[in-house]
Amino acid sequence: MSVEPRRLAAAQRTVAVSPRARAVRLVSWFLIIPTLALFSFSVVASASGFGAEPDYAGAAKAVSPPGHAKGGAFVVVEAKSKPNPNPLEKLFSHSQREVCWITSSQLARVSREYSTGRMTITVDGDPLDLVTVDGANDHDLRAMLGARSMTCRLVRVSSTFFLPFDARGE
Amino acid sequence: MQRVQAAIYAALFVVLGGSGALFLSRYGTNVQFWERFTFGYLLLLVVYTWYLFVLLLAHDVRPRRYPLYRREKIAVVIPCYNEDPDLVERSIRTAHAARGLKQVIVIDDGSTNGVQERLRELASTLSITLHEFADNAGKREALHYATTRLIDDDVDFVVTIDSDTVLDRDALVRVVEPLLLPEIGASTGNVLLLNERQNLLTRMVGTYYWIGLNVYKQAQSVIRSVVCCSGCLAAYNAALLREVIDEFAGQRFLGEPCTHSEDRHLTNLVLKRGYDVVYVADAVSWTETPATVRGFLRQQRRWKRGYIRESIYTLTYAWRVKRLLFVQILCWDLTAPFLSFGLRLALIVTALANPRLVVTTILPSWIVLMLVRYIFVPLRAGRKLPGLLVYMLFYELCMYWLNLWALFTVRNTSWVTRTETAQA
Repeated sequence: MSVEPRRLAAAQRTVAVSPRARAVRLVSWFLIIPTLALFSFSVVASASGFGAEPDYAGAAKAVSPPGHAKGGAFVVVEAKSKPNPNPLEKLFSHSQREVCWITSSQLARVSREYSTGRMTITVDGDPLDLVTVDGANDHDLRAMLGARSMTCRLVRVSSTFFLPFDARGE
Repeated sequence: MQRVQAAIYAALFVVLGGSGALFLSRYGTNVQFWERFTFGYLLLLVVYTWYLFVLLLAHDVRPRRYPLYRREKIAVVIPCYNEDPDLVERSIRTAHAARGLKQVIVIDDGSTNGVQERLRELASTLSITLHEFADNAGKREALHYATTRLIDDDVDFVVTIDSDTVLDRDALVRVVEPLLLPEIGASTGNVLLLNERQNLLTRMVGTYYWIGLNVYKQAQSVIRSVVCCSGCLAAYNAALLREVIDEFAGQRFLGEPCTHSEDRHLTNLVLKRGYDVVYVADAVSWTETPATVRGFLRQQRRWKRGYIRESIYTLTYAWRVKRLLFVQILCWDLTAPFLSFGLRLALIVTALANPRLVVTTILPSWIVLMLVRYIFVPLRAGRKLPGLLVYMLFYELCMYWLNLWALFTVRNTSWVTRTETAQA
């Protein structure tokens, strides 16, 4: 490729391919940008657990004491959080709930103080009832029942934890 | 300066250790730190990818225009050490035949393989300046000697090429044209592989080069801050080169003299003085890459050590002269390999604990997403697609871990490949 013909036209040279190839390049951005948008969404969404189911069963298993079946109940409460968390913190928070194990007498006290509901999940093929406590978080329950009297576990939302996209072409 | 570099170097260990610690924290009572860290890393990745793509879009929409070459004098400097005589002859002949008003200077850096005979023969038939060092002094010293003692006073631009580089006939004039703008201090050209089709590895390296040049270097060129003028083909404003050459020759890192990655440091010295550095895709040169995994990894070990050392150096001045470059190096280029250490550990643990998940979920999604990130390869260099797939895997299995090796050995001054594969 020679610069001579272009020198006659102008004393400058554009560092680019031919006009046709340049047009093809520009048109290719109509594919590149939506693809990149999809890429961005899928990476961020998968990492933040978008559309994933909360793992109540895993949390219930984690807090379940040996031989618990007759002595108490699993309750679902809001996870303790700062008042008015900032938007970034909200965005990063994958889970807002905790599952706690409390005794039957503690459940009775909780039921008197808060409105409760019921949800059923399946653990290892068997149904398991959870008691949902409206308007309470684990901090409230600990304050009411005593800090040492219950075990709680955050309900995890499955997330993608490995996406090693930083290969560089140095 | 040395203290600042030492502090940044130490901070990289903190980043590496922090990433590993966050990974381990997922086995503690609270997994939220790890999940938030992972999410933050991926968010950073997405932001960086958009940044890269926006720069490339800017390049496509409005390509740079440079003045035309008007027979300004170019000095072509070719340092040579134990190079294959046939390769160096080919290199010198193409440099000699390339367009442009030029002075060709060859420096034999104390070779012990007898290449001097061939060089003397060429010097007797071609109009080249040959200087021979009695002992090996290093490429840095060769460039210093050429710049201070051999280059004619009326030279406007200095082009350095490797002794195995083959130049396109227009490469010299193309690569110096940006330097006609006073704000541009250095430029670098395109590098293609002579032996790309030799085997799967060389095909992979061909893709690696293509991405490095046409994605990363091209994007850096849009902000006029190319961080490395490749030793294969680099051009400098002669007056500027004379100004920086002493500092270049005396570089030390953490008290040790520096012996490799001289191309990156020379570029740093140009950027440090506030000059722009650009990439010229149509200034074409060819070179050979090691054709064995062992040879390639040795070359990469040297490059990655230089990459860390010079990125640290960039951080010491870039905030004053090139803020975008500073942010880019700080937030991604230098830290990402160490920031993602915990994620690599997570992959290893997952692969051991649940290999089926890796095969059925992680690997396919990773390949798809990598293809999206490197969408320019299938769109603009489709024949390099197999090389891309190999590169993606090879990076994860080998090249990534070289970053960690390089971090721990960055003060090492050995050339690594030099005696075994001078061609690398």
